[in-house]
Amino acid sequence: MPEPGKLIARLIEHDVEFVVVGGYAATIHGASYVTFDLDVCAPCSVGDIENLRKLHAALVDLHPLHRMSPFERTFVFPPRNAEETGNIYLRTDLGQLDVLGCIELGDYGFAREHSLPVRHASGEYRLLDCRTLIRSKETTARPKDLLVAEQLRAILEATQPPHP
Amino acid sequence: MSAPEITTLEPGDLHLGGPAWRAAEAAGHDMSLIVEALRMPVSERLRQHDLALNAALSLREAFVQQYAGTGKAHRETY
Repeated sequence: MPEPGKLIARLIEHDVEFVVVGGYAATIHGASYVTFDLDVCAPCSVGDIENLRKLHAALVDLHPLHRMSPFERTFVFPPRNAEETGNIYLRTDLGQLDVLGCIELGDYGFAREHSLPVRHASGEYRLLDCRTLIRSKETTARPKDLLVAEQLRAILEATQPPHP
Repeated sequence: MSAPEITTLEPGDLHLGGPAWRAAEAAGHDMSLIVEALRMPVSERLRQHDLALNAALSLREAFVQQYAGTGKAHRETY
């Protein structure tokens, strides 16, 4: 059963470094769309061994598979090759998880810089801020992204203090 | 310095009716759903999302099972 919220808890509990981006970030900001997967931006290139190790530890009992690979190979640590790093598209018992090395606007450093902390029962995680999420959705500019951006602009406006 | 955290907002705290809000409304978005979401703590937004997702998947699964092999699953009438 997909439960992206529980996937976030797993990542927090295992001290994975990540920022929630994509459709689930829009949900957290208050958008009304339902999304099937959890997208996070995280250090996950070949050199980010420690974060990859934590990511694997967080997911290992959830039967994680590389869902884009021809035979849905198991997500293992250490990675078998460079193709299993960078952008990691997984299927797990708690739903799909996309671990992205960068988003449309920049790398993990950029995403982290444009994120805010969110409290969670398991600790704290970081969420792409609403303005940056809007820019990201406007940059990809797929029809579904533009619909979400429309809601996010309304949310941003509604939650900002009025100009004096 | 870290950015401010997301907080729960009551309708009175929201600044509704600005240009972006009106544009979204005019485009057909159900803004009452957004007001409702903004009133919820973040944890509740996640919970409601996951419930909605699983309700949709359950209904889809039941639909597919009912019409599996009948060729009717994607016709307009049944």
